Amino acid sequence: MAKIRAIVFTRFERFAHWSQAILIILLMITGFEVNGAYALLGYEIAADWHRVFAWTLIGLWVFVIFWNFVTGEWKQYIPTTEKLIAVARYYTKGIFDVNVPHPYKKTRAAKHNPLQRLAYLSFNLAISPVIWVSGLLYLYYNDWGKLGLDWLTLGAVAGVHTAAAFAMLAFFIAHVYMAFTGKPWTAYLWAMITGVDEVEDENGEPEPNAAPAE
Amino acid sequence: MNLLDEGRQKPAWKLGQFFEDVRKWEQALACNDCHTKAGGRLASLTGFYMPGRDSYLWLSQLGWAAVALTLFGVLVHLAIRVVARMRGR
Repeated sequence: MAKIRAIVFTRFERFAHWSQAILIILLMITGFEVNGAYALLGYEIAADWHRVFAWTLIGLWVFVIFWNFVTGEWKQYIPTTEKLIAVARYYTKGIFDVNVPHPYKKTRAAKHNPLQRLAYLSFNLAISPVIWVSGLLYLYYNDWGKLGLDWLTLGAVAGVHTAAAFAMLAFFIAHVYMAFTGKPWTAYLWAMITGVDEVEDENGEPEPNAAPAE
Repeated sequence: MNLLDEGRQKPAWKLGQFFEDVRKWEQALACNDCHTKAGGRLASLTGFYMPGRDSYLWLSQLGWAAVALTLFGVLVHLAIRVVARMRGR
């Protein structure tokens, strides 16, 4: 298959990705202050803005989940072991040699390599749900009585939320670094900004939602 | 909870209301008076978890260690890439 340059990240995906990125950064800055890691804005302002950013991100997530299901793009996150070892080996060896290409052949329909699928799937199904559930419980602390949640303790909920936040920060560091591991080193970043990336030509095979070529 | 304005029982969705609230509190008792790491008004009232005052030391140490380890791993990987690139030239 020949390589072609194509839109891999649609305008909506780029909008969602970068809005989420900004919101997560702001949530981490304000959140770790609420946690007491440092004093920057003061608890009050940090906690209030944390709430504003959280609701904004929840709103964004509603659109993103809807979009993933109507477009069928959620399938990009189905995990696979195919080439998993080859990709892992690439990041520990081949990457250090400019002439070694990435072993995963990206296509429009399968744009994430097996390591990315695992990373994003754990982000979507582990880190994020834990953050959202514990965060919403935290937000509605004053209603726990009405909701029959009196058996919870704020310390436990805050602890789970903080643990998930640390996982988020670790993910964030690794993810930002990986964005600069393309060849050339800014290739992945540019793909996420412009939406255009080099992928294998699916050889006339119609895309999942595209009309068949005449 | 009733130390605060009643409207405050609900989170402030509207930014205008939020800034108004902040202005009001500043004249009375501010959140930060108690929700603070050290020397808050309720510093000696223990037995419950108060955000901003309390956190788990072990969790913070474990969390920051994991973050530091990730950062270290990334920097080592970067260093190897940079060195390999310079040698390759």
